[in-house]
Amino acid sequence: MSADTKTMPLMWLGGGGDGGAAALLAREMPVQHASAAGAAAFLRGADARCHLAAMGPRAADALALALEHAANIETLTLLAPPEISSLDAGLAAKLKALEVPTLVLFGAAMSAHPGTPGTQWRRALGKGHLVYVYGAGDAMDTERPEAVASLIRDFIARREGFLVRAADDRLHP
Amino acid sequence: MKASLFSAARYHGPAEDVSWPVGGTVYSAEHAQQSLQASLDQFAMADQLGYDWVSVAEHHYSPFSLTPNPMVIAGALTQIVKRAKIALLGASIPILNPVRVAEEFAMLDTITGGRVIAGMLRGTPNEYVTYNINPAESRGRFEEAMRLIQMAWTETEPFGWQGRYYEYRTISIWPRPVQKPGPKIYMSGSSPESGEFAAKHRIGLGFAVTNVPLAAKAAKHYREQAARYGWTPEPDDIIYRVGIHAGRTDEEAIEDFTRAAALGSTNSLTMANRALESNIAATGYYGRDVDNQRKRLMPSTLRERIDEGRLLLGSPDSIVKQIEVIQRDLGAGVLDLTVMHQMGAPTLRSIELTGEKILPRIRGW
Repeated sequence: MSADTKTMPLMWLGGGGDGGAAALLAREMPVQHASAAGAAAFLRGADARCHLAAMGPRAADALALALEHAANIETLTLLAPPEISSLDAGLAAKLKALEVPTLVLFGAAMSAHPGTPGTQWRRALGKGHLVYVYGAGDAMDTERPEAVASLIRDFIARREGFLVRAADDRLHP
Repeated sequence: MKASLFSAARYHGPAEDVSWPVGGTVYSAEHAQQSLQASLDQFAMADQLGYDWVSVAEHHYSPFSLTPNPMVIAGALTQIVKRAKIALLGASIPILNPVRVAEEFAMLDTITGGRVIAGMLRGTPNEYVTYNINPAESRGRFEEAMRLIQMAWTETEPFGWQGRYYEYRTISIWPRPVQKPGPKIYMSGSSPESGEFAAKHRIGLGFAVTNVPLAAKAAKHYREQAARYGWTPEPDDIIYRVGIHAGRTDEEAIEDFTRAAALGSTNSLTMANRALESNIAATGYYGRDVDNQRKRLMPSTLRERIDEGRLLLGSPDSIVKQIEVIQRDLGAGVLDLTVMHQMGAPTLRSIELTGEKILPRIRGW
């Protein structure tokens, strides 16, 4: 993980209790649990920069912040956001123009019908990435904390580069 | 009732076939080519005779089967089987790359215009040694791989997968299946755990390397579990794989088969290497019904195989009676009729007699 990743805070909106992905990430980088107002206040600060993550319905707050403070937010991660149709129409209309590298996570619980709503989010976000977390539902940050933390960590550290495997998979030297 | 012609495409030629894996010191490429061609010809014949499906399987490192990748022979079948469905029963998905499997099924479904049946199995225990996969992970890998394959078939946007055993950053397969949401899926269902998973996810169940009493018990469990999840399996949701050799008379069939069995391969895959099997069993591979799951893999005598419904042997009239028992006790909607030994003319006669004298009589059941 790069030096700026270790020092730049991850603002976490909603959820993020003990034992979850946020707690795991907090061992390696500053994670600040924040309200939308708190995150907005932080972002209005001089030279403020951060990563942003939001659980469930807090996606709307996070998107509004990302659109308003695109230059200050390095990455945006949305964990099990609500359906696009539940967003304010004005906000939804701006998603294609969002410049912040965005990762959207959905649980791949067997009961979920494939194709929605992750598909809708992937289509709505011009540059977003969609990842399904197996063995988890909407509470993925506590259901599979290591898997979620690993993914967010990699996305924060490498942005678009996270598509390209960088691990050294050699078994033996 | 539907019927499929199944052949593992056994190798008939020189082999030091005493354990598993089987070495290739005396292997004959010519015999292998002839063996595969014989199976391809028989599948084409079955298609012309009106068999509902033809089916292929995956086994490794043994003359028991020359189709370690069933997708490859299925690709060949797309060019010679013009009517019947092509059933892969199946791909051993826990030892494979699931995205690759999703792509291969989709290719086959596209080439055939939607005539593919997608069996996804855990495979026989020895398969785990083939590609160095821990057998203890078999069920977990199976369940995750199946879900990922279904998602790869249906998700229209590029997506990543953060699994327990599989991790991909972006997936978007081309081509995509013709059948929606994908080809009909079957899994092997001899263990209670498999029956429960299949019932929960409305997946068809296939029984192989077992007998009618054990399969009937497992099918009953599957139906009970399905009821818990609010649905009733159709007859076509259950496949029963059974050996077959039909002759013009009982005497002819028994004589042909007995002679071929004495000369042919006796490799039983997993149980051909008992030490290996014991080590696999120790990983917990078999699940909670371990005794029955191991027992069903044991070789049995000809008489036992007939009595337990592992083998249909005799004249068409006798075989129809034997199928009646399977139908009564198990209620399977699809019989996966297995070519046990390649005997030349007697095998072709058996396939023909089955197509002409047996299948018309069981089709309405």
